[in-house]
Amino acid sequence: MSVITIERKLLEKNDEIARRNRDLLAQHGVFAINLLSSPGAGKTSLLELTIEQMKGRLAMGVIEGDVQTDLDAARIAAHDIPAVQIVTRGGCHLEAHLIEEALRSFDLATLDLLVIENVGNLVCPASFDLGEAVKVVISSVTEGEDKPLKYPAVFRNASAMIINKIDLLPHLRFDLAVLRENALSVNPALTIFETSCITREGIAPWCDWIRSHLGSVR
Amino acid sequence: MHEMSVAQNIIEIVKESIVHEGGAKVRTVRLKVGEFAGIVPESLEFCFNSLIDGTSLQGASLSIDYIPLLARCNTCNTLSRLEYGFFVCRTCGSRDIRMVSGTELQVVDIELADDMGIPS
Repeated sequence: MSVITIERKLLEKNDEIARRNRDLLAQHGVFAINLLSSPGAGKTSLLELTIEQMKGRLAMGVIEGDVQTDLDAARIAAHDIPAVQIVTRGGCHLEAHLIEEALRSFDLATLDLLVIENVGNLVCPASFDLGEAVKVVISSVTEGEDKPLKYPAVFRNASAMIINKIDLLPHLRFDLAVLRENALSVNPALTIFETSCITREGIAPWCDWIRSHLGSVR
Repeated sequence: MHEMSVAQNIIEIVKESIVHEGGAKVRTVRLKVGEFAGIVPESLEFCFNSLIDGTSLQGASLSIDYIPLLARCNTCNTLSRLEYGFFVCRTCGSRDIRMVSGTELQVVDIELADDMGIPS
């Protein structure tokens, strides 16, 4: 019997491309956010309000990841900013090579902020570095307080958590303090925002947080 | 089901590694998979077996060393095995901990069947 020693990381190719993406974005001073959540938590709605809020203040681009359709890219492009749709055709997450390809469609020199809206999924996207500066996870109040405990990897690796749909709180049995406590037990360093895309509550602090990070990649 | 992507990566790494082995058959691929690597071993084995069916790797199997999620406490300095998803020191309850193991995802080695492909 002969044994060949390998000792190679399984996702080394993805990590290598992610490193290249990160370098390229840094070269152009683009701050990139990998936006994660379950399907229907409000990623695209939050993005639309973020675009509105940032308009005229900074140049923003968006990469949309979906299993099927270009509906989201069309929604974003309607706001008159560059948007690229990645359709994974069954794939449950985005990988670094897909982002590398999508980045070719942007004039990075003109961008300040790039948001990558990952495929709606709290499991698989957690394992794949895309080359982003930060991961941000959205957890909406209709999903229950236990999501950070059930899907810890994505919350552990995120820099910020957005609790969305807070306008629905009067209609739900939902305890914000419990969600916060669960999220912080998984990741004590999380910055937490509470938002509503209907009342627009909390959108300004979230956008301020993004702006405070913009210089960090240069 | 990102185990399919991971299984594809295993196969690529294995194929690259045996290029100079004269067509030797692969018997076992040994992996290190951390408890917090987000991989379901049974799914990974299922995907790997589906992908190698009918290829030169057919018959190879995965041997998975499952690595526990361990953390060292920055407050009391003890090493403890974390309960999945609860990132607190099991001794003093501090949240100020650093992960020591449990996120591994790598190919350790490949065992070849010597009786195949080697001229006698």
